[in-house]
This record gives sequence, structure tokens and C-alpha cells, in this order.
Amino acid sequence: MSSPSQAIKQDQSKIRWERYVPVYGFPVVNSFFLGLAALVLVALILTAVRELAGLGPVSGMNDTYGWGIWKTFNVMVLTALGSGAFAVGIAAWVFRRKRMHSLMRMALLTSFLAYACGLLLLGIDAGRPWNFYWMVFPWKWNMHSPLAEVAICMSIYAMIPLAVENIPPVLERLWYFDSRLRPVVSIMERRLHYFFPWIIAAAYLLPGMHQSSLGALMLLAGERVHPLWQTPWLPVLYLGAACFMSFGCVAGTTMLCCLIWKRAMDMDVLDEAARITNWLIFGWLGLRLFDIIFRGALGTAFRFDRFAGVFWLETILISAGGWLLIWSVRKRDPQKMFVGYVLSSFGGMIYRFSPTTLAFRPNPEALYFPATIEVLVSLGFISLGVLGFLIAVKRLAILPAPLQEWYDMASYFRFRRPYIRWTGYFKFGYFGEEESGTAAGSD
Amino acid sequence: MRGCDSYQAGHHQLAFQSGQSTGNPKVEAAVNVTASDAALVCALNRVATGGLSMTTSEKETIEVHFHKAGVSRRNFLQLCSTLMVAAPVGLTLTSKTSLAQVARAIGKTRRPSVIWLHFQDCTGCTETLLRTSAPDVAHLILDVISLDYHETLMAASGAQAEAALRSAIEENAGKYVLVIEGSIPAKDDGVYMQLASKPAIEVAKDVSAKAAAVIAIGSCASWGGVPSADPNPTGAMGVDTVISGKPIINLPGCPPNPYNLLALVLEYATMGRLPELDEFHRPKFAYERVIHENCPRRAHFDAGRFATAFGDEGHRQGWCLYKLGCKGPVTHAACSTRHFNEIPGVWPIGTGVPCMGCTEKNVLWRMGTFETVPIHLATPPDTYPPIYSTAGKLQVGAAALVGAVAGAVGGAAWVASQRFRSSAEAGVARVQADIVHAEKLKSKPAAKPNDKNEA
Repeated sequence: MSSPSQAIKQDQSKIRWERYVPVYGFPVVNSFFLGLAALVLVALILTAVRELAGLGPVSGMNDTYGWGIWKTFNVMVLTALGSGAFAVGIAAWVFRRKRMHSLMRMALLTSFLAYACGLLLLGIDAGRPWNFYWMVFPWKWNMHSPLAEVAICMSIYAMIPLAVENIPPVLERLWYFDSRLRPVVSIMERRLHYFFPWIIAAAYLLPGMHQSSLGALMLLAGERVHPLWQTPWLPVLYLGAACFMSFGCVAGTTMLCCLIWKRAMDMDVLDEAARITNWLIFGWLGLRLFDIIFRGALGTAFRFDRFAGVFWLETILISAGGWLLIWSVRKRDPQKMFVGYVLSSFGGMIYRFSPTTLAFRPNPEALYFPATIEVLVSLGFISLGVLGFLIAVKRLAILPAPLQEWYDMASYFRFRRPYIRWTGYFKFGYFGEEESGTAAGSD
Repeated sequence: MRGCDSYQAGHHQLAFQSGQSTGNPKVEAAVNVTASDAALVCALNRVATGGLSMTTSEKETIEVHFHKAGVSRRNFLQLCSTLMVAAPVGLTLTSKTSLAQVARAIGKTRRPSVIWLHFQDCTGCTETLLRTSAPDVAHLILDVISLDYHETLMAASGAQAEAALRSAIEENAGKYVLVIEGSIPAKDDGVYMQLASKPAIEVAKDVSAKAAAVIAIGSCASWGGVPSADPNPTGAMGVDTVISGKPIINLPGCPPNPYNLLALVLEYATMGRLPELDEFHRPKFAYERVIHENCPRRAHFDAGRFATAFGDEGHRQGWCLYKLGCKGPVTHAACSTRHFNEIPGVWPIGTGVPCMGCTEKNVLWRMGTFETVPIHLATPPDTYPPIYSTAGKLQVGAAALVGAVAGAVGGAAWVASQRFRSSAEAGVARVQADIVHAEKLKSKPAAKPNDKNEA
């Protein structure tokens, strides 16, 4: 009982995430940051090339595969990873998993970045950019297009609920940054408070609509999608995959951040997230299996072709991830938990990618493989999201941490930045006093 | 009497329109023919019993008219529903969303008196009108409008017919709508066509003098049509060159779609106004767009797939008929969206025949049948980037890049997972040190920063 790892586990169970704390003491610009910025620059240059040259020369799209990875990966797959605001939010607010609140800001930030970068790339993917200006006239929209629901719903979701939900960390930074801003911030906070219930309701409605609509889009492809994937339940399965993938993305990213920036982990929160993810994963796998069996498509899974290969790859990855998560909950092992999240999310990504590309077979000769430029642009826009993430976690209070981390940050700034004496970071004192006391500023 | 059957025929038609069909186009076509024949017989029976010669100075509303005729509310609503189906072209009825609204609008309408004159024509326009079946012609000419004079449909002839025309003009002076079918010969003082011992040109001027509006139906009445083709022996010309001082609406076409006339008359009857016209006096609701814009074969045009001879491979495949002389790209008409006789695909291009351009003054009888027309904006401007449709191929660089990215992400995840245990230990140790430090601070109250105390 007294082995070192046992002791660590006991100590670890005492750690509680009580406050969001920025990552301090690490420069924003480092070599990794510069590398990502270079990728973004390359992507922006190639975007200009794409606008001048047209889609044909720069992408691998053709008449049979009209959707390239910009749509199928950056939008269909990465917005599923970015559905954290939806899935974690519903767990926290609707099902009252109160521990999930400490992951909420991570969920909101990753969602916003995934959606924003996806929508930007979707704009670049528009085949005839000279017609783009029609977008500002809603009465000219083609409401008969199956993509209309996705396009309208997704852009509204990213521009209003997600953007507004990410305002509180910014206000918080302003509040602590300069005490002269506090009256303005408190007015804005009150306004925000008034609208917040409606914003949150919209933030659960809209993704539920468009994440399932993305699956419904592939229903239109009919026979061209392999029977292992083509099902009337595709919208539900797409939404379910988005739920467990986004849990994996939020919790896994938080764990990765804790690893990189040497934060303590609250294993109670992570255990609860892993348990929820488990339910989602195995419920989803069960639904999918029943669907395949009842449609009589199970036989195609035992043929020796690429479709069966992809099917088994994603099924094994997702179930192995789920199994690792169960194991990690029992053993309180962050390593297995992280690998479980990575595997299940990766399997989910393959699942979301398959109906549009891997399991899409318009004719036997058809082939789509993304062109180099396509991959670089896609990578550049993912890098843009990561850049935004790095800046945000280092400037805003996004990552959860024990309360002690907040005090450590204060002493760090007191020692390292003595010249910003007027900064609110010095006034933190002890929290109860600070918050009940003189908010209007004795500074 | 067969008149009662026309409701049933209309019901058949409605079922056909709303998709509850047998699925066999031949059967449906037969139903259509039966429906319109029943309507025709019905109309002729009622004409023979004096329906057309009964004219009154002030027309009652359709509601009152139906009430007097003993038509039930149910049958009236059935008529309204056929009008709803038939009048997607109609301007008045297009905005109405429910049967009750249509019934209200139609019920209040005073039936307009219509006088229909034939000049140099083939009666094709009348024939196409007789083939409408939703609403059928009996309803149209007896209930929706009051057709007071029509040489093809009326039973009367000779002096009796002339008397009918005169009484119709006198009783509705300034209120009736004059429909002219056929071109008017003007050469040699109009001697080439005589009506009741008067030249056609004089008849047209006399009757139009007291009309509220003049509708020129068909290409002949609009601008001469086939009688005016070179060398134009009779000096045939359209209505608008002969008649002046009256609102003239051209409904060109050879023949025009009868629903255009129906929509026009309904608009005039219910709203008392005429629709917006283009520079050739054609109503914009039917003649604003060119056929090419909504042609079902447009994709073949854009892809460069053309039939080059009748019966060749492209023609059998249903490719674009442009190279066979199709005038669709310059012809303003709604044929490509509104087919004839309510049968899908019944229009020239739908049956594999190039468009003749019958609604254009300068195309039909002025251009060669197989001559191709100039294309406005055939392709997007050269400054736009092209949209290639190359076959997919696997780029080695791209594959290597995807592999490298996947490897980097997977490797990073593996390395991260290996470090988790030591990291967890480090995190715990750090927090423990912090807690110890904080307890030390707490044990010395003087060191605790407290703004209030300092103030």
C-alpha cells in the first residue's frame, strides 16, 4: 500500500480544479509557434493561388468527387471534434454533471476555433467566389439546397452563440488587467448575463441541428455510399459520433495542456468525463451494430475489400479507445485515459470522414486523393486554429487549475513584472475578500 | 346533360396534377383528351342553347352568377381548386395560399365580357384554348369570363352572328376585352379579307374603338406571323400597327400557352388591371426569361454535347439541339418551365424538336429554320478561373505529406502518453510544495497582503 505510485494516486485525488488560470511563465512566441505561423503563411499564399487559378488546378477534386478534404475533413470531421460546447455543455448544464463545468471554457474555445477555421475554409472552397457577394442578401439564398440548413445554421452558431460564450474570459482579463476598466466590464457583464440563457439554449439547439444535417447530407448520395455506412440513422450516428469525439477532444486537449505546461490534473473531473465518454461510445457502437445487423449489411463487413478494412479500423479504434477509458477509470491512470481518448476520437474521425470519401464509390474507377496544395491549405487552417488556441490559453483564463495556481501566478507576476503595479493581478489577495470587497476599485 | 360531367372531368384533372396518377402517361393523356372533349361538348351544348347570346349590360359577380345557375358551393370550390392548380402563371392567384382566399377573390369578380375576332389565322390559338382542362373551357368561357362573341364556338351564323356582335359591343361599350386572333391584311385597302362585306381592317378598328383593352393572341396577331412571311402577298400586319389608342397586350406564340391568356384575363377580371409588359407589349410574367435559361437540356449545352443531325447518337441521348437550329437562347417564353396541356414534356424541345422562336418578332419566319442564333454570354468570361474536371490521381508528394502529418500527430500522441505518469508525479509534487508554502504564509499573518488593512 505504501508504494510510491499508490501514494501519488492518493495525493492526486486531493487535487481539485477550482479556478481557470492562464498559462503563465511561457512565452507566446516560441519555435513551435513560429513553425505553425509559417504553415499559416504558406496556406494563405496558396489560398491566393487557389482564388486566381480556380479549384481544378490546385485540388484533387473532380466530377465524381465534388467535395474535397476542405469540406469533408476540415468541416465534417473537425467541427465534430469541436462540438465540445454542445456535448460537454449539455452534460454540465442539462444533466447537471457539475464537475464538467471546469472543462467548459476549454470546450467553448476549441469549438469556436474549430468552427471558425472550418467556416473560413468553406468560404475558400466556394467554387465561384465572384458570386460570393449574394450571401449578404438573404432573400436570394437558395433555400432548396440541401446544404442551406448546414450553411445557415453553422455560420449563425459560430458567429453568435459560440462567439458570445467566449466573451467572459476576455471580460475577466480586462477586469484584472486594469482597474479603470472595471465599471465598463461590470456593465457589459450585466448585459451579457441577461442574454446568456437564450444564447446557451441556441448553442444547444443549433449544433444538434447541423451536426445531424451533415449526416443527412450523405443520405442524398444513396447507393453511392457503401451499405455499412448508408443508413436512415446516419444523422443520429453523426450526432452521436460528434458527442464522444468532442469529449475526447476537450478532455484529451486539457490533459495534453496539463502535461505540456506542468499543471496538476483533477482526476475526479477526468474520471467523470471518461465515464460519460464511455457511455456515449458504447451506446453509439451498439446503435451502429444493431442498425447494420437489422439492415442486413453485416455480410459486407466480412468481404476482403477496402470498405470492410475501413469499417474494422474505425470500429476497433473506437472500441479499443472505449475499453482503455474503462480501464483508466478503474485504475486512475492518465496515460491509458489519454490514449483512450486519442484512439476513440481518431476512430470517430475516420467514421465521420468515411461516408463522404473512404466509403463513397460513385463508380469503380473513381478516385480522390487530396492534392499537395489542398493538404497544405487544410493543414494551414488547422494551424491557424492551434495558434489561436495557444494565444488564448496564455492570455486568457481557459485552462482549469487548483486555486494554488492562481496564487502562484500572482507571485510570479509580482516578482517578474514589478513595473505593472496598477494591474489587478496584484489585488487578488485572498479571493473571498477580493470578490466581496471593493470591486469598484480602491486602486 | 354532359355539362354536369365537366366537374368530374375537372376532378380527374386535379388528381392527375397532384400526382395521384396511374403512372402511365398514355392513360393520363387519354384522360386529358376525354376531359377536354367533355368540356368542349359541354360548352357547345350550352352555346347551342343560347349561352353565348345572353348578354346583360352589367355583369354580375361570379358568386351571384353561380348562385343563379344553381351551382353548389362545393362545385364552386372545385372550380377554384382547378384555378389554383392552373394558375401558377396567374398573378392574382399566385399570392393566394388557401382555397378560401381564392374563392373569395374569384367570387367577388365581375365576369369580364370578351369578344373574340378571327382574321388571317389557322385557329390554332382557339384549338389550344379548347384543350385546357384545368379549368376546362366550359368553365372558362361561361363562368370565369363571359365570352360573348367567338366565331368558332358560337352556334349562330350570318345575320344572327352579326347581331350578336353588335349587341355585345353596345351593351358593354368601353368595358369588354377584345381578343384578336390572326393577322390583319392591309394591302390594297384590305381587300384580301372581308367580314360581313367589310374589310378586316375596318372591322378591327370598329370593334376595338369601344374596347377596354385589346389582346393579340398568337404570333399572327402580334406581328403578322406566317401570313406576313416574305413576300407577304396580303400585306399582313399585327394588331398594334393597325389599332392605336388602346392598351394592347401581345401574347405571341404559335400557339401560345393558353394559361398565359387565362392568367391575363383573371388578372384583369379580379384586379381590374393589366400586368407589367415588356418593350414588345408581352406580359413579363410569361415572357421575361429566355427558354435557354431554364431548358432541361441546358446542362448538355454547357458541357458542349450537341445533337448534330436528327436521329444521331446525340439526338437519341437527349443532347442540346442548338446546332440543329434551336432558337431557345434568344426566345423569350415560359415554355421550358410550363409545358402544354398539363402533360410533362409536351413542348417542342421536350419532344426533341428545336425551338422555332415563335414568340420573337425577328426570329420565326425571319431566320432560317436550321440557322443558329448568336449566344449571349455563351461561356463565363475568360478572367474567371476555369473549373476543370480532371480524373482523380494520386500525387506522391501529397501522399507523403499526409503520411508525415499523420505520423507526426501519432508520434506526438505516443510521446505525450509516455510522459503522463512522470508528469502527474511532478504536478502533484509541485502542488504539494505550493500548499506547504501557502501554509507557511498563513502562519505569518503580517505577511498576508490585505488592502483594506493598509488603507
